[in-house]
Amino acid sequence: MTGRSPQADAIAGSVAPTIRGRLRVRLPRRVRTARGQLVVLAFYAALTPIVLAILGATGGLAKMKLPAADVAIAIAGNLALAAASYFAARLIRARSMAGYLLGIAAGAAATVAAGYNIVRLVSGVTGLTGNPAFFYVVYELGYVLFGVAIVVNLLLEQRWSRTLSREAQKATGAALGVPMRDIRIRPGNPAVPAEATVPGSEAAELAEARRQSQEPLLAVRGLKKHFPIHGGLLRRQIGTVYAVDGIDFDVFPGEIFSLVGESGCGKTTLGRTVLQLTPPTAGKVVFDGYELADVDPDDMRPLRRRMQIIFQDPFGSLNPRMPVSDIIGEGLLAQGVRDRKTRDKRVEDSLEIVGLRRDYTRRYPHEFSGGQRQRIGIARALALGPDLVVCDEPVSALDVSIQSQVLNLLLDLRRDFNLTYLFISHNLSVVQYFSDRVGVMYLGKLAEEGAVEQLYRNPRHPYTVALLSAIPNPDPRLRRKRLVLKGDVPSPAAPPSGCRFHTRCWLREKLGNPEICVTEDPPLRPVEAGHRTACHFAEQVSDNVIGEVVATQSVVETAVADPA
Amino acid sequence: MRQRVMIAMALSCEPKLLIADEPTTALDVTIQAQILELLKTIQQRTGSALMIITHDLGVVAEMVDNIIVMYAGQIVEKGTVDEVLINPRAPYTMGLLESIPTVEKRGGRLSVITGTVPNPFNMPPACRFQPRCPYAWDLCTRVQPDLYRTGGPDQYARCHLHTPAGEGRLGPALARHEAAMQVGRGLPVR
Repeated sequence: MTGRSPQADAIAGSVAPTIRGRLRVRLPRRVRTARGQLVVLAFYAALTPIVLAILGATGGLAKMKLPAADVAIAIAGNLALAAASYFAARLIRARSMAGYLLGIAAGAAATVAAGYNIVRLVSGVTGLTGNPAFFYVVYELGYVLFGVAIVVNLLLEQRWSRTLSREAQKATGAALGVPMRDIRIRPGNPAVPAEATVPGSEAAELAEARRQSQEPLLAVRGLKKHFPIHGGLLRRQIGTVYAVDGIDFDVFPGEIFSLVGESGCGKTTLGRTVLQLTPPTAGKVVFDGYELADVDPDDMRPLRRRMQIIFQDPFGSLNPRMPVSDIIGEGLLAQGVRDRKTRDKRVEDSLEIVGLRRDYTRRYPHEFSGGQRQRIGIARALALGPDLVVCDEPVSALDVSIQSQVLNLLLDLRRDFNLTYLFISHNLSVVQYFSDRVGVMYLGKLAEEGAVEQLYRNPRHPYTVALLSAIPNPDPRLRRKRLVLKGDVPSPAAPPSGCRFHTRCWLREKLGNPEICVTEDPPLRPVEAGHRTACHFAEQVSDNVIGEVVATQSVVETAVADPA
Repeated sequence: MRQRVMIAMALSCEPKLLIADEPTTALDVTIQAQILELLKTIQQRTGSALMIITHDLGVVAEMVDNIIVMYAGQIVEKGTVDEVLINPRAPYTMGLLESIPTVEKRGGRLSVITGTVPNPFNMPPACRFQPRCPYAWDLCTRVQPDLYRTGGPDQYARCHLHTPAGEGRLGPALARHEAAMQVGRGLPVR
């Protein structure tokens, strides 16, 4: 934790630039942390001329033929050289090979020079070594070389990363294919809530009809993503993780589609595969009519601008070495916005939209709280003016009071910029509040999909029932006995045969363990308008059945049963 | 599984007091349900006292009899779970309950607690919640409130609203909280 904190600023009510802030030059982080070591090195380097100056001033230079003094200075010099080598080794990390080799060479040269002189001192060869000032010059050269090596290495590192991004820009080709939408701050009244979806079956049918007439913004068909497991002596593939194993759904413009599931169900992988951050193993992803697997890499760039992602971890998703302006501006740069002023303006606009101050552009991520970092992540996604935003658990790492701020912000942004969200979460309360449609995932497949009200009032898959039952309700008047599932989630590397849920399914147990659950994987089939489920016995899911199961279950024994 | 092992370890010496520190935070929702039911069953069987530390108000509502709400190192509210969660008396508790997203609040705007938790090196002068409190007035910047008896028979809240000085302000504050909890509630749900 740093001494200055944004919380203190907020409470004080002003963010006046301090003297320290004004003097602070914007050095890259590596140089700033190296400042300490450079100071030490400078001290050792300065030590020698200081001693030389004192000796010269006091006239002791002429007297400096005493071997004892020379030996003492030689030893001191070597200690200093050793310290300098240590610091240089810490500084010169192998990010740039040239710098690393240069540092090694400089260190070697200085050590050889120092060693040579010690040998000559000890062996008493006079001649050139008659003048003791020569020693000082040689030692000092060593330090100077070290310093130069460090500085050159750092400069090379800077150029290295700049070169990479410049090459990336070259690879993108010319300007944008699709012009960027201007970020305008709409003077809306934040007190006016977003349009409420009125539940009720006829409204659901109307909404469904409206949806069917539109083209989906994102259509996913048969998407699969498998990861190989390597092991054994020869690192061959010994297994596969079926992270996503056949998913179909549509996301229509302007709606919030949530993917819900527990850890290991593949929802994060699905979000990343949809955006082509990892290439799918099989299946189609169609974004606005373009089938993403078929698109040329050059043409992908304008499409990528329209699909953005907000990551889960506000601490890990922001590069700690980059200031906020670079974090948000990186995408703009990659999309070809070369003019610095335009970029800066867009960055400041997006910061303002997410509720942060415009002058935060110079700060680094560690100076912000979790909620503010998540806002920076949102600003980063928004800066490019996307159409679809994949939100990968954006509020899971935040406290409840900050969570509500971020959720309100996301709803406002959807209204103001006509965004579509693919909202991935494991938190059912948030999903129920926030989304229009929900897909429930289990072990890489969709168990159920439908509008929020349909799922909440009329769940048709035993897993959905268990999930809903498991949500703890903060109202103690609504305490109820919940339906508890047996055992743990199976590993996605070894999914159960037939229906993946059959090993934990309370309905199967109630119905006397029918065979079909083990042999046949149920397809996702419609049960009402816009509501699909993947269960052979979906019709049997009703309140009565659930009540009976809850009443007769035994908690301790269910804990012991192991998944087949 | 691992959480079960932890519980077994804790129970092995037949303790009279079991302290559960965020027992379900890292767990999935269905596993959380298992663990909570397990804790409840075991606690009833052994008769030991259970102290749960958590930020999840849902877990609290399901499991506990009495609740203490803490903020910035102080207790801001104390009472039975029915008193505190149905009729909160401290502004912080009210803010927390208002900001929980539920299906009943669909279509409405979530209430927020503006600002962030205070820096422990730079606490506000008197009441620690005052910078974020929608009901604060100048007394709150001058005098540190004590825990005052209020509401139910065992309920205490650390807030000046419950002193004679806050006489006229308590009513409107409670009304405002009630209104915020009703956001979106017109929608018929199960």
